[in-house]
Amino acid sequence: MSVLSVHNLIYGYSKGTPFETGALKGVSLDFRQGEIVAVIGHTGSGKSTLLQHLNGLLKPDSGDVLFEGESIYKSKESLRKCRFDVGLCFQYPEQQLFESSVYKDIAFGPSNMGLSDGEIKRRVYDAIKFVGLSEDYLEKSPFDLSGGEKRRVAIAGVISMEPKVLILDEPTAGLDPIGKKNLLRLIKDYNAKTGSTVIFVSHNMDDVAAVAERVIVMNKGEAVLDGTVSQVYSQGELLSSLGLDVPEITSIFLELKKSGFDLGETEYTVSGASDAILRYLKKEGLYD
Amino acid sequence: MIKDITIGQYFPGKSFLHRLDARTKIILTLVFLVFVFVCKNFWSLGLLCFFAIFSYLLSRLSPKLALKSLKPLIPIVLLTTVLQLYYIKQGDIILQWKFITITDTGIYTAIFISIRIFALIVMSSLLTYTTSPTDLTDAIEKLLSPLKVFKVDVHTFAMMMTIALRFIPTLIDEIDRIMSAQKARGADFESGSIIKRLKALIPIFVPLFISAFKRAIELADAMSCRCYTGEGRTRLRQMKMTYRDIVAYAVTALVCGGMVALNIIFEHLI
Amino acid sequence: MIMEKIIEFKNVSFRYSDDETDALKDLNLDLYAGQFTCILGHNGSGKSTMAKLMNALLLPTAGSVVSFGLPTDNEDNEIEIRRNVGMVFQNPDNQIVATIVEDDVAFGPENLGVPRDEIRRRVDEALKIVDMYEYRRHEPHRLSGGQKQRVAIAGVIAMQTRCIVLDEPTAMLDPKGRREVMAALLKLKNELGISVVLVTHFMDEAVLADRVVVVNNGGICLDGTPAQVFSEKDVLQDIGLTVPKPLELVSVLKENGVKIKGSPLTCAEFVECFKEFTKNRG
Repeated sequence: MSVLSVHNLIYGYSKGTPFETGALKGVSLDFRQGEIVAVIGHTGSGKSTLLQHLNGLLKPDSGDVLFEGESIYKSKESLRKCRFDVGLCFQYPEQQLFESSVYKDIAFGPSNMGLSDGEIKRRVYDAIKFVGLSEDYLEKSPFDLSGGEKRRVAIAGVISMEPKVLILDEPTAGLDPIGKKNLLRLIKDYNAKTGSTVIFVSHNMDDVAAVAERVIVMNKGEAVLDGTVSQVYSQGELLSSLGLDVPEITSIFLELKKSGFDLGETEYTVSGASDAILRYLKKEGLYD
Repeated sequence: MIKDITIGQYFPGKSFLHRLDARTKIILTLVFLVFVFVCKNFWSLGLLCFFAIFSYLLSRLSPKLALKSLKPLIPIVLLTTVLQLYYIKQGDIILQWKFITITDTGIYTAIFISIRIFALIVMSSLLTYTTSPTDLTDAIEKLLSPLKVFKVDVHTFAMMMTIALRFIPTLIDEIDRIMSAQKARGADFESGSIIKRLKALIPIFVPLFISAFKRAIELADAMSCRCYTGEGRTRLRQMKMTYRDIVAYAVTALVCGGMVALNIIFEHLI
Repeated sequence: MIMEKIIEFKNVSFRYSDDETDALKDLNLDLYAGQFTCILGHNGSGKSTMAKLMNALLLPTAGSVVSFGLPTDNEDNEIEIRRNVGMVFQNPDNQIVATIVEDDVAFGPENLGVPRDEIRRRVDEALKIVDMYEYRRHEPHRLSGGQKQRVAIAGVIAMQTRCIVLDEPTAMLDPKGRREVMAALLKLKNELGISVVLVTHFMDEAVLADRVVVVNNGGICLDGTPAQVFSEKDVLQDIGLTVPKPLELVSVLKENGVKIKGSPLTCAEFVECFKEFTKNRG
């Protein structure tokens, strides 16, 4: 079932004029309940603009955004409700922290929702647990934490609104390999435990391969590719022509295929690739 | 949106005005401003307006820009017009209704003052439109350098201005981003009492200040890595007076002279 | 061949404040001229602290750092050290001073009192090297992250430093920006002979270096050529770093009994190894 969909979104673009950075020219997409979707595209392809439409922060010049079948722009109330149903976590979210304690900062979203104190408390405790920090952190000042911890607190501040759709703009930007791995696991866990839809933007194709089920490629304000990870990654040459990276394993695969090795479907993980290569070697009688 | 502010913006170009020395432009703009206040009748004001329009054409900027810079002034101009019409009682009465009396002198004065304000703004925005912030600060530094005699640290002041100009766009982007991020957490900046709205600004200003301080510390490190001490500096940019500047001074002097003459010849407003 | 030492860490310890643990512990390291050295480690490993010690932005709590023969703890050496060791930081926005690209590149030489004609020449040359010459009259805030970082690099080149230290210069960039910056750095080393010290946590950047120094918990845990360092798969994984994917793939294949030879660090190298293997078997 589609939980969130956009219909023919046009923003900052009119026919016949050159493409402006961050414009959208007629994007239609459906996001289904419970899926993990990655949106990729180079800077200025319109992916961030798209995200900011999904919770009504931007209003399209034409087109519509539907949450559970209803237009989010219908009324002031529906727009406000949408902010809480569709949680958007910006790039470098730690830069939005402002409260004197971690507890208060995480509680900012829920208290804007007008929830009771008891409910707010429950949500804050749930959220901090979710991002893998102990309850001791709640009394600390967010500004005393390390970079990675701040990032998690900021994400907890969005999760605490318990959105049905969670959107993250480049959640792993600037993190080191451990931080990245933890955060990607957090995204997967959130999706598995709550059944929420998760949409995230990433530049890192290996990150995308690690968690996403579906990949949407944006280019010049249009969704040019939309499919499973292997469907999209097999279009390696198209991706490169759009200025995007392909995972290293995929480029090895594409390169080997070009050199005449018939390896079958394009792989993007080490284990998938080694299996495919072993199969190939067996078939060719090079491996016993 | 906050990004639409055009005051103090610079539009690069290669026109006569763009190529004038920034010091010349500052001095001549100041002279022009003074003379706008000195002029006493429509003839002399007409000459100054002609000069302003001529300068604008010389800059080869789109006339739309001039209109854009005038737009925010419309309320002020309307207000002064109303006040002039209301208070000036001399001259022939044109309209009288209850306690309102409008005279021809009132109308003329109102028009006169409105044109004056427009001329002031067109000329001073022309200065920032055609002069890069760097040139502007360099010129101010040069023009103020005599103050060094009085132990005023002109260089540091100019450096501060440069850095401020450099970071304004960065901070504006930042405010935009923080506002969106807090809105996404349900922050409401548009409704409620004044107290509530002021309170709603805390989630914007705390992160903004924190980031501004962080930027300042990093910038200080970056500057000291590049051997900045504030002393013994040379400059890439050289300010040079050329024939253009001489022409500009001469033309302005002629216009001002002509204006004074018109002031004397035609004693009255009309 | 005897290589010239440019930066020496001698038993260096460093702590930010008294109540904290040491960011660096009794660290010894020599860096050599003309090399591209990569300092690799995760956040909090002490790698950025090392960068800041190299040009006297920080001073060691114990031990000493010597840059181009000058101890950094002598205040009189500060300017001379920074003439030799330039620095580029992580956030491209926070290191650009001027409102026009070429003015920013000129900032360093201006501070050094270089004559005007010479500044002009240096600025143009530096911008051409990083491929930003056509943007010389642009406003920095309209540039992409990768372009801003290249402007910052040009600013160091124009100072004619002999060594450039970069503290996670690509952490905030998109893949295109990262490629642009890495290309500029390789050009710096190969064409100008400037020593490059790159602090990063990206494996694919370390692969391009001449020497990789892996830092963990304030100490050096591996040091060698990329091939040597990345062959220590277990050590790297223990401290939370990964191995380049081509190398990982080869080792999985080897574990499965495929007699493929070599330790490829890049895709091209892997394809070569694989071709070699099939040719020999076929």
